[in-house]
Amino acid sequence: MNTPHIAASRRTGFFSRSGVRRLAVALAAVPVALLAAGCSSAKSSSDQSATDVINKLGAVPIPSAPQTQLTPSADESHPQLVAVGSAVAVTLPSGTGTITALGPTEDLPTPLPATMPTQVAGTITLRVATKTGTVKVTTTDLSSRDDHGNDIALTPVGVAQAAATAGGTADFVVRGTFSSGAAQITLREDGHVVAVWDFNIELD
Amino acid sequence: MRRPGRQPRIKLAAGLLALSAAAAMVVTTSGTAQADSQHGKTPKIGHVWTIILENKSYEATFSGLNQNSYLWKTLPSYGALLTQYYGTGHYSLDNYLSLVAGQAPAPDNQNDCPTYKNVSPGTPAADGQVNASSGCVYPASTKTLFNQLDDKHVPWKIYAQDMGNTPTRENAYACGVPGDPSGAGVPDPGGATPTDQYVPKHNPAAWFHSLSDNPRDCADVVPLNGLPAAAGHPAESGMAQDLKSIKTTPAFSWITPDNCSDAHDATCQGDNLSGDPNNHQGGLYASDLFLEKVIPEIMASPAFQKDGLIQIVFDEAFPPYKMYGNSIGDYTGNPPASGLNTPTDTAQSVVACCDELPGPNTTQPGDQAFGQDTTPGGGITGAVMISRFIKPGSVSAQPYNHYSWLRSMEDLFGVKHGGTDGKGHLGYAAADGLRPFGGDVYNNPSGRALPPAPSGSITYPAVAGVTDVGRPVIPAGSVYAH
Repeated sequence: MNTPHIAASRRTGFFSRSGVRRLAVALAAVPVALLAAGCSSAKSSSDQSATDVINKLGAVPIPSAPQTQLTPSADESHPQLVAVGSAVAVTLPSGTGTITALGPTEDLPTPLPATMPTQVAGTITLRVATKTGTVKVTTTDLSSRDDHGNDIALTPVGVAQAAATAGGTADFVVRGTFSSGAAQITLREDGHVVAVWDFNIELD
Repeated sequence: MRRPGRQPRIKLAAGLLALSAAAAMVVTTSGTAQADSQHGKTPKIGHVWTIILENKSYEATFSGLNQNSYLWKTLPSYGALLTQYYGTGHYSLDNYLSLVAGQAPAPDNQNDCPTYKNVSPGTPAADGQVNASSGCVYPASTKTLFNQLDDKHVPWKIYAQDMGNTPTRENAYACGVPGDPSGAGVPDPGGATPTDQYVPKHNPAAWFHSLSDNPRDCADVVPLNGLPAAAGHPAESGMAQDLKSIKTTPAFSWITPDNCSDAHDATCQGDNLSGDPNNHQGGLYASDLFLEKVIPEIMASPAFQKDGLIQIVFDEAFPPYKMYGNSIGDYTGNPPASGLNTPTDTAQSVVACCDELPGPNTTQPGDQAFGQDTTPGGGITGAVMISRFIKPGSVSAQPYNHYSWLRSMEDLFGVKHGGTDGKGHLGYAAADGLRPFGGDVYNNPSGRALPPAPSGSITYPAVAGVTDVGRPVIPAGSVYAH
């Protein structure tokens, strides 16, 4: 349980070439900043003590932000599990493109009651951007389940499917009632799981 | 066994380190290191930043499921990952009270106090606890870590993102309180709005009269980006400005991100720092955006480089996902014997460690959350710590909880008198045998800066003794194997 994961990866790994380049930038940044401070009349003796420590012990390297993550790819044989809001590049028999699950947008009462409800109605949007062919999403392609294993019924808001052809986009909105906690929405194609988006419902 | 191609890059990194240090020597001569070189002792950390995030189990945060590569992957390679760090209760607020005052959960703060009103009866109980059968704002006699730091003349600040954006919701000039807690109290805004994502339940100062009644203390409770001057109130600087010099950097900084940046809201009501006004994704995605902004800010500061420690903790665990990697948790077509069709196991989110006591006000600190019958604590959240006194890539399996954190901070800042045990520890931070962060965390006592290393390059086991570090496991190929 809780096995720590090895952090070195191609994208963020320190031992990668790009990682070394980023380290170079990070290491250079601190002394340069302190050097700049040292050239100003405002440099205090306390800040000098930081420079002294760096001189003796080195500058602590600073982790830069990861580069923009690549969009994970999925098809009927290789599904993806991602957080809600993430795009998944899909390759389907009818076409290719990206699908992003957004939300849920909660219909919270206004004003908020003193005691929050344990369930709330809300909508999830499946945003389709098609690259080739046609990519569609229908109600029957979707299912949702909470962390207690309970199914969450989804009903379309408006038409029961959305489709986009090459170069086009389409939104498909479904409504459900979500309990406080964790849940997920699953997209299938021909009965095969293509993507799962997980999300939390916070009603406290 | 050495991984092909690794060593040359290490040498390159070491060379860059040397170059970096050499650049700094242009402006100064060598100084005195502040580190304590004795093994197992807490080194002389002079500045601490505690960033508190919200509502995630260890598995949600540190297993790569949630688009938070910076926290789960990058930062542990620059510091230590505490795989057995526990919350003390459910839901949010009681954890904050445990952290700063050693108070155990009580019924209303377990419910996040939808009404902001005083604790009743508020009388003293055993072990430094307070009888709190109702209400949430503790009497002036209940001291916090911040009061202890006041007594030691140790500068501190609480930075609360978004606090005061909507002045009618909370008073940024008065510790961020939502109103007067006397009598029947006032409504406590529990959720964010598009323009103000601050919530009082995530700001510990609002819940103790020992702080909120003292204008001098409230002057140190500021929005993350500072506060303009107002009638009777001078302007207060924000964190970025304070970090520019050691003289202006508090020794202890508590950072409460807003309800979006702390990963609380799955869909943010307002800005998530992505720069895209149409992007409202919350959760750990949003907290990563926040951390990507503030961690480099802090680490580039003179105070951090000199003797700093950054802590990233969560208040409580939320249900873990049964899904691992690319497995499909909700696919019900698996063979019945596979076990893959069962609902998520939430037990990890309600467990406790460190002999946590329930206190005088509830028998279930975990508030029987997630449908569980026995809920002794707030579950396993994990935590990350970064400092020149921590070897990058460290992992500790030693159990710690919020009371351990409080005891650690009291010890670190030299609070040795008063408290519940007469040795400077408040409430349950004074529990016999409670272990503060030890040599498994502060494992680089020389303070010599080290390059990042893959998480797990050195792993400390859980051990029983209060001061025992245990024998670390260093895998073949680790940079620490040499």
